[in-house]
Amino acid sequence: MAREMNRFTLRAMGYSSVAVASFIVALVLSSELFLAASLISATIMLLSFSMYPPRAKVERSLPKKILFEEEEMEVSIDMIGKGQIGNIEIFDHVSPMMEISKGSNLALLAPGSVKHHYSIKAPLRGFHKIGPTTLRRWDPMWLWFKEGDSGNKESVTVFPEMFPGRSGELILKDLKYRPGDMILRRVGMGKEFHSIRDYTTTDPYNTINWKATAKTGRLLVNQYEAESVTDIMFIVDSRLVSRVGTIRDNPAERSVRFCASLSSELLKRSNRVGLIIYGTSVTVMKSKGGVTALDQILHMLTDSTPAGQINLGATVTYSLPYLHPNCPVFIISALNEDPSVRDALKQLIGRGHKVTVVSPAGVEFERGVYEGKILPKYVLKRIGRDNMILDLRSMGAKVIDWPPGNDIVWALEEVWK
Amino acid sequence: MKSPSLGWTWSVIGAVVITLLIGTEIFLIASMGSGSDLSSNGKEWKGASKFSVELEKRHYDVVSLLTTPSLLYEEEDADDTLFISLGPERAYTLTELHAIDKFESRGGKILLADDTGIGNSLSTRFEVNFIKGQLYDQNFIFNPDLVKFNVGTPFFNGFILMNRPASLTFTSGRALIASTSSAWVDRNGNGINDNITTNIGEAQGIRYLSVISDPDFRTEDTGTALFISDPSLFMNGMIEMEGNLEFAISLVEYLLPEGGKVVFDDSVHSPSGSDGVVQGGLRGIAFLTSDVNLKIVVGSIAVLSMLAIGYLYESPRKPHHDTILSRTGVAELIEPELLQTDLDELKKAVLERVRLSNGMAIEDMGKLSWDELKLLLDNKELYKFIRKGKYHGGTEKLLLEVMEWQGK
Repeated sequence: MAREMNRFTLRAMGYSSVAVASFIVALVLSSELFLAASLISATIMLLSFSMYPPRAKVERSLPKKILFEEEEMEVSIDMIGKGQIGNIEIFDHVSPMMEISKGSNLALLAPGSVKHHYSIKAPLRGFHKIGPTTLRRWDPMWLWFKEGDSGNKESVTVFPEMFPGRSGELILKDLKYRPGDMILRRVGMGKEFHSIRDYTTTDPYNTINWKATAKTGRLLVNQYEAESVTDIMFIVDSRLVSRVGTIRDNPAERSVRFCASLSSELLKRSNRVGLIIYGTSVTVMKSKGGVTALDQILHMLTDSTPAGQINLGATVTYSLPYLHPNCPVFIISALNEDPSVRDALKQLIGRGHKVTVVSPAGVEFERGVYEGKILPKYVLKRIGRDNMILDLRSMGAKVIDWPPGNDIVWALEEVWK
Repeated sequence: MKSPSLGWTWSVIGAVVITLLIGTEIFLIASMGSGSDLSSNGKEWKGASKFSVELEKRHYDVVSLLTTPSLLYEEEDADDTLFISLGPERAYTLTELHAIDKFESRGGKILLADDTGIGNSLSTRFEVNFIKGQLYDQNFIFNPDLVKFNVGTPFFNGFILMNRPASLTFTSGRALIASTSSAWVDRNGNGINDNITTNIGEAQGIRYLSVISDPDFRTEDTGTALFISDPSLFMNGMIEMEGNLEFAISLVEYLLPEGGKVVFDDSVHSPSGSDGVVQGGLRGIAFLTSDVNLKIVVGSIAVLSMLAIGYLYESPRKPHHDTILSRTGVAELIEPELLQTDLDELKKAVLERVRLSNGMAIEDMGKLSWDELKLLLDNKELYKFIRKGKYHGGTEKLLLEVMEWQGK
C-alpha cells in the first residue's frame, strides 16, 4: 500500500479551534465555563486520535479483461486486513470513459464488511484503466482519516460494438474483378492439400491418393482446401476533425463501429480484409482472413485515437502498394477539412478499384452540438459537402451520406443495396 | 518482533517532551522568588520573608503576586486587602497603574516603599514624590548610612532604623515620619553637602520619610496609600533592628485593623537566571489575560480565527466518478458566422452545384453566358448575388434563399 496521508475534516478543525479559542477566552475572561468547553473539545480530539483504524488492503477481481462497447461487467472488491476492519471508505478509480451502471465505486464499508461490488458499463472503445483503489480509514468519531491507494491498475480492453447485417443479404456485388486467393481452412476445390477421406462414387479419379490406398487396402481420396476470391481494404479516417459532435457519438466512432461490423461480416464469409487508418500517421494492416484478422482489426480500431491531420490523398499514395489490384476499397470518412479527397478517389478509381465511400456527415454532428440550429456557416459547409458527394458520385464512387439520425444497421444495408 | 509505527514513536517523544516542559515549569515556579531583593519569599539578607512570615503568624492571608498588579482588577474584597510594593525595580505600566487606582478607589490599601524614584509612577497619582538622593541626618548608628528616626504616629511610637533612606515631598496627605531639621539630601550622590557651592537642593532642613495620602481612611471607610522612602527597613537584615518589625507590623495593623489579605507585589522584582525567564513568561500570560484592551483584542482574534478557519478550511471532498462522455467538439463551425471570404466561397459553391447538377465540365461552365447561367440558376436573387455580389435582406435571407434553391 502506498504512503498514507492524514486528512482532517472541517469538524475536526472546528473541535480544535473551539478547544484553542475557548482556552484563550477562558484565560481572558477567567471563565470556568469556557475552560470546560475547551477541555471537552480537546478530549474529543484526543480520544479521536487515540483510536487508530486498522490497516487494510484491496484485491480487485474482474470476470474478463475484454469487453465490447455497451457491455457491462461486475467489479468485485475484497478487503484484506488484520482484525476487525471497519469505518473504511473506498473509492475505486474508474476511467472517465466508463460509466457506473449498478452500485457505486464509492462505498463506506460498515465494520465487519469486507466485500463490495459494482458494475461498470463501457460506452466507448479503448484501453481503459480500473484502479487503484483509494482507501480512507476513518477514526470512530469521523473527525479524520488516513488516505492511501491500494490495489493495482488493471487494463480493460473495450472493442467497438459490432452490428450484424441482415442474414442472407450480405452479398458483395462485382467482387470478382481480379480476386486474390485465400486459404479458408475448409474443404473445397483449391490447390492446397487439406486431408484424406474414403472414396465415394462421385469423386473424380484424379483425386484418389494411390499411396494411401496401397497402404490401407481401401480407396482413399485427397481433399483440397477451399479458396476465397475477395480482398477488401478499409481506409478509416481518424483525424482530429473527425471527432466533432460528442465523445460518445461522432464521425470517428461511427467509422470505427461501421468498420468493425462490416469487417466481421466479411470475414465470416471467408473474405480477406485489410485496414488502413490515417490521422497522426498511416497504419496499414495487409489483407488477411480468419479470426486472427478480426482480432487484429479490432485491436487497431480500438487503439485509434482521433488526432493529427494527414489527409486522404497522402494516405492513398502511401498505401497503394498494399492494395491488391482492383480490390474493393471502403473509405470511411466524414470528408471534412480535406481538399485531397477528389484526387485520392480519382487515383483509386483510375487503378480499377471499386470505391465505396461511407461518410458520416460531420457537419451534421457539429450542428448537433449547437442543438440543431441552422448557423450561417452550416449552410455553406453543407453545400460544399453536397457538392463533393455529387462530384465523387460522378466519378463513379458509391457514396453513402450517413446522417447522424441513421444507425449503423442502416449504413450496412446501404452498402449492400 | 514488530517495530512500532512512526506515528506511535512521535507520539511518545511528544508526550515526553511536554511532560519535561511542564515539570521544569512547575519546578521553576515552585523555587522562584528565593533569590530576588525584597521579595516576600526572599530568605537572604535582602529578602523580605521575615516580614511576610510575621504577618502570616498574625493570621493575615499573605499572597505573593508574581505576574502583574493588573490582577488587582479581580480582587473582590479590596476593603480588606493591602497591596505592598517594596523597592520596585521597574516602573508600573499604565494598565497596572489603572488597576492600582481602581483598587484604591474600591477601598484598597497601598503601601509603597522606595528609595530610587521608580515608585514615582504610582506615587505621583497621590501627589507624592520620591526625591532621588540619600538622606543624611544627625541621628545615625555605626555610620551615616544607618539613620535612626523617632516615629510618633497614631499606630507606633518609637525608633526605627533606615538604611540609606531617600525622602518624600507631597502636596496632599499627611506626613507620618519626618527627619530633624539638620537633615539634608545628597542630590548629586557625592556624599558631601555642597549646597553652598552648587545650590542643587542639598540645603539642611526637615525632610519627610513617610506620607499617607488619606489619613482619614478609617473613619471615611475609603482606600489609602502610604509611602515610605526606604524599603530596606523591611529587609530580613534590617527588620529586627530597633523597632523596625513592630513599626512594620503596626503599620499593617493600622491599615488593616480587621485583618485581611496582604498582597506582596513580587512582580516588580527581577530575579536573575531561569527564575527571571519563567517570571517573564508568566507575566506575559498574566498581562495577556488581565489587560482590558488586550482582552478585547485577543478574545476577538481568537473568535475571528475560529470563524476564519471554519470559512477558509476546506474539508476533504468525497471523491466521485466523473465521465467525459458528454464533452463536445467542433471543427468547421467554430466560427458560426459568415465572413466576406465565406461569401466568396458561397458563390463558388453555388456555381459548383450548378455545374455538377447539370453534369458539366469545368471548361463548359466557363463558356456559359450570363443569360444561360440565369436560366440554370432559376433564382433571381441568387443570380444577382452571383453576378453582382449584391443581395437584399441581409446574409440570413440570402442563406435561406440558397437553402431553398439547394432543396429543389
